Amino acid sequence: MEIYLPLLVQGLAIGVLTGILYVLVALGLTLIYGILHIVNFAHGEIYMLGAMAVFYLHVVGGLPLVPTLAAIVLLSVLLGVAVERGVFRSLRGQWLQLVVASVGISLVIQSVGWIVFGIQEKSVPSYLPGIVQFLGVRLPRERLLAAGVAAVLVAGLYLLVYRTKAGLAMRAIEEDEETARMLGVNANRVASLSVALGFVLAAVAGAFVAPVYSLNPGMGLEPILMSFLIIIVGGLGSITGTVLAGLLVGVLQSVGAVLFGAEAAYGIVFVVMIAVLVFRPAGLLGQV
Amino acid sequence: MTRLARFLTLAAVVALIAGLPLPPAAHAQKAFKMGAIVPVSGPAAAFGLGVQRGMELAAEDVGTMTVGSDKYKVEVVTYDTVYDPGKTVAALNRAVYNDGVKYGIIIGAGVHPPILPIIRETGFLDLAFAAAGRQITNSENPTVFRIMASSDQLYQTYLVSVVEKIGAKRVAFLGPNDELGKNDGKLVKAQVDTMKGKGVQFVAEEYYERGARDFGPALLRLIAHKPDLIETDGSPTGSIALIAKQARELGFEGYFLNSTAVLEAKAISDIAGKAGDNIIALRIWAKPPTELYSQLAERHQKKYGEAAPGTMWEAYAATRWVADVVQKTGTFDTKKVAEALAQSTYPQHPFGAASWGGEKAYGAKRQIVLPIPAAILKGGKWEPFDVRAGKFD
Repeated sequence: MEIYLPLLVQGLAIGVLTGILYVLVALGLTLIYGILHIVNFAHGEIYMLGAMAVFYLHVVGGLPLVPTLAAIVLLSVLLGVAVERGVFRSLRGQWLQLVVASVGISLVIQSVGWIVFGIQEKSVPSYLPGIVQFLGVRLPRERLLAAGVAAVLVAGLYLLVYRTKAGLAMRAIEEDEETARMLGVNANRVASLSVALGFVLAAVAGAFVAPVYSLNPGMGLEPILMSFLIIIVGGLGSITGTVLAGLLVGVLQSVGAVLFGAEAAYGIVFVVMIAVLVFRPAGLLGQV
Repeated sequence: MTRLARFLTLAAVVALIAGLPLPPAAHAQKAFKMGAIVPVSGPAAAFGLGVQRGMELAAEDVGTMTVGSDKYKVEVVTYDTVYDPGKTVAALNRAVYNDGVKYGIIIGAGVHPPILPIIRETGFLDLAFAAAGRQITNSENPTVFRIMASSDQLYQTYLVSVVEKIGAKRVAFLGPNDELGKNDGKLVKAQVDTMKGKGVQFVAEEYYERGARDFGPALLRLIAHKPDLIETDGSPTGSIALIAKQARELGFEGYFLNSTAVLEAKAISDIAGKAGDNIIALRIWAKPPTELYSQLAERHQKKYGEAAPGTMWEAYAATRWVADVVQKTGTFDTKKVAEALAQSTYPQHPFGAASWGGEKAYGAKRQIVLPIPAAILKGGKWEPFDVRAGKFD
């Protein structure tokens, strides 16, 4: 096959948009890890719940999109606070127990999901149907919308963490919890806020990715694996690193597939990721 | 109880739910246990749950069966394989050695290679819900019966006629990069190559990681070869719909053909929407072929609250068929039952009368032969495309 420029440009565009979707999913994961050092394996299930909530509230229930999103945010906050207070808090600092706990939560949500949501794949109609054509490159509007939402969330998260008092408290806890407590930071409240925010990010990602893909209770698995890869390569806890790594993975996967085939592209992604970690063990923007 | 203890209790419960056989719904004094050795969690769970439900409905219908002078109730015992070869080996071992299960439905061409030695050793009667071909059903595995159309059976029955009917000249293949996908890709290429004289060409093939949801880059490469038909065999329902949707986004206007692994017709039309137009799917009935088919669809909807999945029908028929043969032979000896089963026919299959073939092709009469439908998606609705006998010597 002749690889010509328009094909590569289209591949690059797909890669960037896919990378942004990865970033959207990985943001909440990096936040929770960054602040509390919890590897939240249930993140994919919260993402799934966000997508299912859109299906049941918006598609089946006929609730307009904005109130649906508001309900998703509210439910995610409640769930996040409940999980932090009921499970994560008593295990804080016990890495292995936290891993087992989050895997347990993930399994319970998924198992209940198959019973409650059923086995048939579900779909959410596009919020913004159609294609944008630019210099011969075709871009689905629904992906552009998801990319826009991701950009807003990245900016919002950045401002929250680096420009607000709550963000300062989060960073203080991340840096040294004991000292932060002595200085009057309410560590429990910060932890609840972080987990709730992480859950909101995952659920909102699910809500905006829902029209792009199909929905089933197992849909969280693939993005969560990719998200782990991205936050490790980006540097655990680094928002900017997550963005860079997400884009890198998306572009490598897509352009690699155009040049060498989809099968080879998986290998290329992992070879590059391993190379990054060999030269920068803490990830692109992580701190040792 | 401390929080940690509470959590550990919860984790133990989760582990039990995830890893152990699920208890049967009802316990009979004498039970004819049939294993649903299938994925009921993970990405392929929908396939397994469909089989489990088909077996449950069949068990209800069989009621009490008489074998020799004793009465038995069919009991469906589910073992979650997560569609993983290692876990399937463990599940089969548990079924056979711990629970004394000698009959069952096992899903997946990819999980079969490591379990075939166990089946040969124990004589487990495997009603294989697995595509591929000779690798699974052959003279070395006399207790393995394939209860769905095999890949080569489907291609022989349909590929040439579909290509001719739609006037396709350039055929491409996109499938998962596992044993099933690779095998299907090879078979499609071989079939298309037989049409070279008619100006039909196999132009490209691409394989994706099972579970992937972005097919854009692979489709870009395929579409660059200007196919007018893309085969998507071995792909699950969600993937087929997403492939169609993403291919249309890239400007592809041709047909799609899917011969295997179709789960549910409605889901494809729902997910792909307008982009799904001109998906041709084998094994999808646009109109109910029998009264039983309609009744089962209704019962499934009532009992499980959703449309019947594509794996339900064959699982239902196979369970009833085997129960019939066990009763007729008057023994649970799997080798004797296998011999009798191979010689039997089953007119009550929801798809129409079924029998066994494959003696010439596989060296063993263990391949189901039954009517195979083809449907085409138009305006979000499945329309009949063709129905063929599925004859397979």
